[in-house]
Amino acid sequence: MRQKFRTLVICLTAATLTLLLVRLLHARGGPFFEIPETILDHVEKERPLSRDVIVLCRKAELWMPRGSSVTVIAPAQAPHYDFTHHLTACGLLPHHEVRHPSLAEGEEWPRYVLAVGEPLAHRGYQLVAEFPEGRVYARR
Amino acid sequence: MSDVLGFAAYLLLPFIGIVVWRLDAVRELAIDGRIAVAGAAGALFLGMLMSAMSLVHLSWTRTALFLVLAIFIAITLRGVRFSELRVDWSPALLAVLALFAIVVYASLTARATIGDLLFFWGPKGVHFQQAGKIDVDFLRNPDHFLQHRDYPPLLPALFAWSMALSRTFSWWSAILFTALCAAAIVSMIRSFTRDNLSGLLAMSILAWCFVRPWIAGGADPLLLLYETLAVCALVFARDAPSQTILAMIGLGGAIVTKVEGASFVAAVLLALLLQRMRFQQLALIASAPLALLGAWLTFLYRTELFDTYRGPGALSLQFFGSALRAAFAAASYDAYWLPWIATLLVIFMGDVKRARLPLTIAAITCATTIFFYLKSPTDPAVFWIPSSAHRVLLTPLVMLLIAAAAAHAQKLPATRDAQRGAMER
Repeated sequence: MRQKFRTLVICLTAATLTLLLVRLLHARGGPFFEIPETILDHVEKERPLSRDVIVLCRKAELWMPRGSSVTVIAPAQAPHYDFTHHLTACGLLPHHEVRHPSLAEGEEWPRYVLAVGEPLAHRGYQLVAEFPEGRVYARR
Repeated sequence: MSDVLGFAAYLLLPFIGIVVWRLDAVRELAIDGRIAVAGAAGALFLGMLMSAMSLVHLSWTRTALFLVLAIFIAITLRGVRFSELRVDWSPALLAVLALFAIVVYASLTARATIGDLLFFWGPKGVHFQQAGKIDVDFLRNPDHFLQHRDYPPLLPALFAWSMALSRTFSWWSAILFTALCAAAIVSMIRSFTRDNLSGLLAMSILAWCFVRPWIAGGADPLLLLYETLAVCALVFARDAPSQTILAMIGLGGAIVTKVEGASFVAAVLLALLLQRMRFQQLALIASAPLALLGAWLTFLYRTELFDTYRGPGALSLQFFGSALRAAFAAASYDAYWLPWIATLLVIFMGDVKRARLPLTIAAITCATTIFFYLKSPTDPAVFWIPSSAHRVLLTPLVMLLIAAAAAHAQKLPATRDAQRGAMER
């Protein structure tokens, strides 16, 4: 009797969690049978900004010489920039010197700034390239 | 192509750890369990070999890694038998495979990715591989301070190993590695108990708890894999040598995977003391994780990289109520606490006495989790608990899954070794 009840509990749990999983995966948005462009494409229904950081880093890599310093910001978030964007860039731009968006005292501005989303309004930087996900700026 | 090669690197791990097939307890397992145990052992051996190479300034090039591994496998392969590759098929096992397919789908369609992979585990793997070692300069750089410079090195080393094969880092294979860990955890529970229903309960709960809070690509699945290995060995292995060696590998792996591994090891050792395990065996089991922790802490001390291991702050009961409420809310996993309720129901329908060890560890790890949250200088319910509790609480949940399996496992006659030396069950 106990064994049967145990089987029932396990099967019901498995069935319930499977249904919940299917509903959850559906709720995270389609398309459902296409290979996504990045590993963050469907973590939420709305496109996360970090997803654009990944794509922008891939595209911007070609515009910046190896070894040059760069940081990543979302100008719309000023002045409280999300520091995770530069952490993301660290893994995607391994041949560049990726810097934290806040400058240490006396630290030189990075040579490049990747602006995700909105354009960067800074007289020290000029636009180098523009993509749907953001823009690449170089120090004047 | 780089994704295929990057993933193939993880599939090679069981070959590196195949020496554990010589153990009686492993030899008795079904093939998936044997591969899972060998994979966990292989990942630890590889991580240790790479750390040792880093210490002696032998760069992690593809050639050097293959040479070192070829020598290592050649030495350890002797005496390994490949007979009796059996699997007991049943509808429950097919259901396990279907759930595993859902986890793979969730991973490959980018629906379960954890941010930590992008923020620090992945970048560390990339930079370590590029430097050919554990890159102290990268860890010391103030720009990388938020990438948790003193987190243990095993996962970045495995990512570096994958990258050594694929040339460019494969983010997709890093995510799929989580699905492999889930499969390995379930295989261990299933094959140590010879019970597909226990495997089904574990797979359904892990599938939900891995995908719902986005775990793919993080270190938690690997930590849970080692925790499962250690406790399954202690609960189900019938001979003392197997029990001791597998527990050493499991606890050693846990301690070099995440900082939380240290508190898990303390919880297991305390539980074993309470179960009156023979002191000699207990000391032997403790030796591996303590040696590995000692080595890592020495490295951190000499390179001045201490950070997380200093601890969050002094214990305070100021936020006790809010911490408890927030942790309890996170434990629901948005499924009305079903993972806990179902597992506890199954435990109490079986022989609870046989589940004493995992139950004790589950209780201690739950208490430890709250203890660390109470050391937060600010209210942990605001950020710390919502961002971490669903991952940290997986440890006691997996312990309960093992307890549920143990409460219904076939009662196997203990071998002479186990009768002589192991703990009282």
